[in-house]
Amino acid sequence: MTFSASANRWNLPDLGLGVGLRTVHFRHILEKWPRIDWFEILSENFIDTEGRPLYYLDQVAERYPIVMHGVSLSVGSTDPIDFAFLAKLKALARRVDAVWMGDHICWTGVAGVNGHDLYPVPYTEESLRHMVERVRTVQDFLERPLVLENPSTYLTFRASSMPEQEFIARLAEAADCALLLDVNNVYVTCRNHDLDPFDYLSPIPYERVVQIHLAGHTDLGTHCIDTHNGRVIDAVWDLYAYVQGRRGNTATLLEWDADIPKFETLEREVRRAARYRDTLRVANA
Amino acid sequence: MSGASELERLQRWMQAVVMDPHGAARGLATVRARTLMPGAVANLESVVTRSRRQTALERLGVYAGMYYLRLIEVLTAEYPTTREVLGAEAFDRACRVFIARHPSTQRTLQSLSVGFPRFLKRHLKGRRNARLAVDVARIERAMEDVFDAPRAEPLGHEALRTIPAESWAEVRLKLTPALRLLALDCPANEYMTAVRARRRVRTPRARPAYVMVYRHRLRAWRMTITREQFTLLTLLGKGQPIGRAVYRSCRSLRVPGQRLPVLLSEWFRAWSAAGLFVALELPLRS
Repeated sequence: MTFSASANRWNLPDLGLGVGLRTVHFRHILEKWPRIDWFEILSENFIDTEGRPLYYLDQVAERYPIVMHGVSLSVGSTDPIDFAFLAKLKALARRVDAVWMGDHICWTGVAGVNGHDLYPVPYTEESLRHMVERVRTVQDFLERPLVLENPSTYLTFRASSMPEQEFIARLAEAADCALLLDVNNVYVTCRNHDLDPFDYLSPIPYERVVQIHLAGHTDLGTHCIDTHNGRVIDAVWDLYAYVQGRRGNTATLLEWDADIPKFETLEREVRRAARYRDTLRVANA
Repeated sequence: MSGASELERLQRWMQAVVMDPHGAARGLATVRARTLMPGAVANLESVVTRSRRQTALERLGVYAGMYYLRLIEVLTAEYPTTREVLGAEAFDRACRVFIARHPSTQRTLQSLSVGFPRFLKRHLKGRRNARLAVDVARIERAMEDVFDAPRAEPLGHEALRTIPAESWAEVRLKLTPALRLLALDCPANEYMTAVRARRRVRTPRARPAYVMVYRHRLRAWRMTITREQFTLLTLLGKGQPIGRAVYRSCRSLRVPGQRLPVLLSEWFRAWSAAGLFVALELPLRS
């Protein structure tokens, strides 16, 4: 089944093709105002600061749609929810008029510590209940749906009683949240856990998918690391094509966070996604 | 045990293992990890599964490796000259100990290394270049602080010129939150300038030195100042009226009497141009 561009649960728009807003490109963007459809920001880079990043962000937000994507919400943690942090996120969303905001299906620390990494939870009924309750609480506070991303994972717990994709689908349904489907993460996770990525993608509730991530990764032979340091490989483009077929045109973002190239290179890479989108548009018509 | 507490136990265990500074294998064997998950040492696969190409321990090791790698990267970006002073290996070792002893408790990384200069002071005690490394680290930390500090609209020099001459002594000036004043043990600022310009430079000898670090037009700047300037700005920052602050900071200054007002005028003009003053409070008149 294919959905039209805005046929997600919340009628959130198909923003087109975007890239992550990174410090090294600030000047280029403000001088050239490139023809990119939208930007995604790493939320934590723009809170607890009133320096140059926020100054540039304000200007970018006047011209482009902004989506907020975080890495520290720690929605899977057993620590209490940090409402002070949520208040900062909410204030930033208001400031940049964020189209939506999200984070990852993971935990980042416990006992008051933050590891600044995306740790997997065991996919159990207990974890599911815990996360559903927390996602609902966060959404109530933020007064908008959370857009949660499937993380790249490097281990699985023996205690898991269901596959990650089933956990994600059930979490999204029960908490009534939106999904960001990172197809590079799907590839990395499946490589690391000896799974078929198309089996992973099959049960995803596509009516809840409002955004797609594309990225490069590092293949170390024994495992893959989600390094965001290069071009998207063909196998990931294949997954993207599959998701487009299931979901229809969806806001798509290229992540490139290490060895960051010139902005023009990012533009060229993300525009490759247009080929898949346009092809499918014709097919759907 | 409830579901949530099982999850909590697993999370505390994994955190203890992957944040161990000696790696996941050593982390697994710690008392903390063994208490949280007694069976894991003998049979790790009862907790974490293996893949076709990696053992359970190797998979935990991925997270353990990334934890230190990522945070050391942050410190390396924030303390480039401190790293030059200590050398890459010693710097990385110091970072690893610091991160292990002071794990991040914040959602953002901005304040991760707030305590790093103080930590270095203890950690490097008695070692060569310790004093210089600590002073350079203090400057580099101050640059991070002012970069992220709250914004405040600076007072233009015109605002200072409107102060009636007879009121000057009683005026109080509010300093920008994006300013740090540092009293150092050696001239680390000049050293930093030379190192960052890739000039060969000797380790400076210890002597008192003073630096102000501030944000101006969204960039962090550092400038060597005199003891008198340091004291004057410190007193103004504490809310003392200009007259008292000038008296206390400059009473020992050896300049001809008529030269002092000229000197002070130059200082205030430069500081005003640098955006250090953000508000002034005139004395109340009955």
